[in-house]
Amino acid sequence: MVNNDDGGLLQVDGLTVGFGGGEVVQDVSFSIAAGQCLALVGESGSGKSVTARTLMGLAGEGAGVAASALRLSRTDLLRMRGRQWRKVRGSQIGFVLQDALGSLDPLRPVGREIDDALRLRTNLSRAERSQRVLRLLTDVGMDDPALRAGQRSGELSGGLRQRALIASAVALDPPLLIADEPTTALDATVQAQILALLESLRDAGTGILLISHDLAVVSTIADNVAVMSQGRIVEQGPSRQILGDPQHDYTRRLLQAVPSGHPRHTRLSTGTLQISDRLPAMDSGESTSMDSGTGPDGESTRRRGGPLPAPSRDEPVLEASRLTKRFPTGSGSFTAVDDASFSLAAGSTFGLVGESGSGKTTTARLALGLTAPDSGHVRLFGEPWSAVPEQQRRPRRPQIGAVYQDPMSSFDPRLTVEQILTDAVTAGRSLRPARHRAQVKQLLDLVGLPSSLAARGPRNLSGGQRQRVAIARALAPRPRIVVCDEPASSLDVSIQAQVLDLLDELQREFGLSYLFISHDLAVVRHMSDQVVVMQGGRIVEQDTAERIFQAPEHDYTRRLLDASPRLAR
Amino acid sequence: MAAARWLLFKALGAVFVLWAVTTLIFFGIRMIPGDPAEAILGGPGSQASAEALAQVRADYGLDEPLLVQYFMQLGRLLQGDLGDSYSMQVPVSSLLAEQLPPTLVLAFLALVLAWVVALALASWSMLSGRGAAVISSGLEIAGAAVPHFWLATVLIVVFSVNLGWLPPVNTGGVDGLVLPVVTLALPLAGFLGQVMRESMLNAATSPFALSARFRGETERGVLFRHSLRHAAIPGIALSGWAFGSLISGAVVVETIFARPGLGRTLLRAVTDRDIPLVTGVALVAALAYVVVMALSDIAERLADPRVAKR
Repeated sequence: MVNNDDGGLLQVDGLTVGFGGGEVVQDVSFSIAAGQCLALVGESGSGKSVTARTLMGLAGEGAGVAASALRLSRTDLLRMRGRQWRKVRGSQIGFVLQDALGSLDPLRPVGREIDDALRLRTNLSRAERSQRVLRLLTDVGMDDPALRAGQRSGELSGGLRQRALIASAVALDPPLLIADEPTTALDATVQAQILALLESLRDAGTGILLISHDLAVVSTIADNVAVMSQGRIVEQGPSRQILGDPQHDYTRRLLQAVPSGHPRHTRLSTGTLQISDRLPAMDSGESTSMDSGTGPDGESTRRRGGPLPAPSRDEPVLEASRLTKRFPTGSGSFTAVDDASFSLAAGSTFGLVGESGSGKTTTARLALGLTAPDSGHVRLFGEPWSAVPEQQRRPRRPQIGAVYQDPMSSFDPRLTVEQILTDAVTAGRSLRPARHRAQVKQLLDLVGLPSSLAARGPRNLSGGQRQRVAIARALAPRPRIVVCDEPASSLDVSIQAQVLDLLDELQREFGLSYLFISHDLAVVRHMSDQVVVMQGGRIVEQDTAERIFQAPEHDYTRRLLDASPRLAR
Repeated sequence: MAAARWLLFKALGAVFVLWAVTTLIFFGIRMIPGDPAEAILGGPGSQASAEALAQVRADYGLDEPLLVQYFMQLGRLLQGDLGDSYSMQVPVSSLLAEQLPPTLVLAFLALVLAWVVALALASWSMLSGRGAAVISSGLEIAGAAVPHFWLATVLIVVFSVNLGWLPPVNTGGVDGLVLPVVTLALPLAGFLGQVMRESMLNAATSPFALSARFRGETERGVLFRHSLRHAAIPGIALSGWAFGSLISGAVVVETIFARPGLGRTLLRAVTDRDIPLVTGVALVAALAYVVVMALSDIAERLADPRVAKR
């Protein structure tokens, strides 16, 4: 490896990137030495990814790039043009994108994708290249490289896919590897494996630029941290110093937003108002926001009588006993949920953790009465729920609401926020917001959104705003139970913190019961009273959150806990 | 196992389609006014005597109730007997054997040309920037909108009458095939091109294309190794349907260019009320359609392993 005299591998000085209107990266400077990992941390839109892509000469169409220095070893990246850039890409800098499923061509075997890099920049024969591909796949920890090389990304699990993508990025042994959110959307155990892989590359002398919004991930691997906000680096230094003794306000806010180590019912976000300040007399008997049912003449014909009965702590609001659900596959069947029993106490949160494929979402659908169990049953407020026909369930549906991971796909993209909420308030009877404006405004207040957003479509909202609208929609029919399926998993830490805080406030304000599903143990711990751990459709452990996280009994729970990255300060 | 089940399912579907076509043709053609017996004796101009007509009706079973005639015809078809043509007094099967190949050649060449033009337009607009994209998109819309008879006329006027490069009618040689193939191919190319460019664009802007560029791949490499395959998939899926539309397009094109073939035979059979011949042509066209659909299904599965999983 050829290094500069000062040992620096990558030297970025005063980098500014602009697109037509404005500068999205301003005066950014950092350096990376061989065998070191620099983490670039910040929320979405802070300019992290543009910075990384600029280093590959692919900032985007119409990008104006300026810097006083942009050097990789002895190469001046500022002087690169078309053909020269292609010699840098792959052989000097490897790049791993976030979404491995989308980042590998679904029509081609992963071995061919890795082979491409070798074919473009080496003179190896076809046979030599296929040997190299197998060795690369072995190096990134694939169990059966010959088999994997012939498989397409759709046939691989999330972890194997990410390994294959990393193999294609390091095929030419580049001295610098850029990894853009390489473990987002991966399960804790898989994430730990991928981080270990990156760590071993770093220890073997590769410089790594890690881009992430997850500080816990960063703390496990980064030597240095640069915190980015609105296109500028606000603070940088050794990770111990940045994470342990942050100087900048923004860094502190990011750190506080990490849920691990925060006891239940403590706030993660700062700055927003408490619900009680926003909401005068929301739950009084005079409630208007929750009027539902509009007659054909358009007048409100029905008004729910008074406040709901106070939840009694003894009787479970939702009770699942011995639920089993199988799905037919090509040959035989796949058991998604296997003999699962649990009960949800009024006003409490029931956390459901497990890796992808462990049956969490199927359990949620069973609880919502959207999927019929093959055996076992669900009772809602002490009455049969899964066992009765849908016609009998329908009038009771307002009692149980749902918030999903990806609100975008759960909204009709043609509707405005106002229409989405009107639809929910009127139980699907009207999309005309005119008569329901007051209720819509109250719902928006409830989730802390300004009424000026009412006329926007879901596409023109940020991820956090969208999830707030989804929560408002779930609350519109005034449910007593809300099923939250990974409600904050697609959000940045700081936005996640706000959404989790909101859910917590709403729970205390209205005595809601949550069935809370997440693969993120820190989030579940922060939110839950009771926790079940699922593996392969079975409940392996069930206890209070404190006991599960303090003294896990089952091996699998322990493995999950070990794999979960913790903020090391 | 899964393949055998798939094949059985396809075969049953084909039998159903052929039965439905036979039935529709049988009842449909009897709604056209006129007497089939008269058609057998040479049409209304032949001044056939009442006895001759009665004799023909008895010979051909035309005096039986309609349902009886229908089942008699189904029975003959099950035995593989397509009957004799009313107007030409020869077995329908031998007429079809003579007329099918030229139409298949015409349709196949048109399909190939349409693919080449569509892929060329789509690739050009990928590699050569926005101007090329606007031009090729305009050409595609124009192509898809142009009717065969108009295009055929324009091509004849330009290339035969004015330039004298190509013959306006069939000569039996390759030069006579050029204008008919182009006439059939261009509208289809416009249609295929629109679909292909869409998925090519999606592929070229996807994260996997970006990853390929990050590996040092050229734009050309991204196109040939990634985008083209993604573009081909909807094209393959549409090709079965396209082949069917080419056969119906052949009716117009074969008539204009005076070419032998299934299309022209069908047109003459309908005007002559030649029931066995119409049925025969329709059955063959339906069979060709079913076979091509199955082939495009298989091709799609080979090109896109995700389809086979569904």
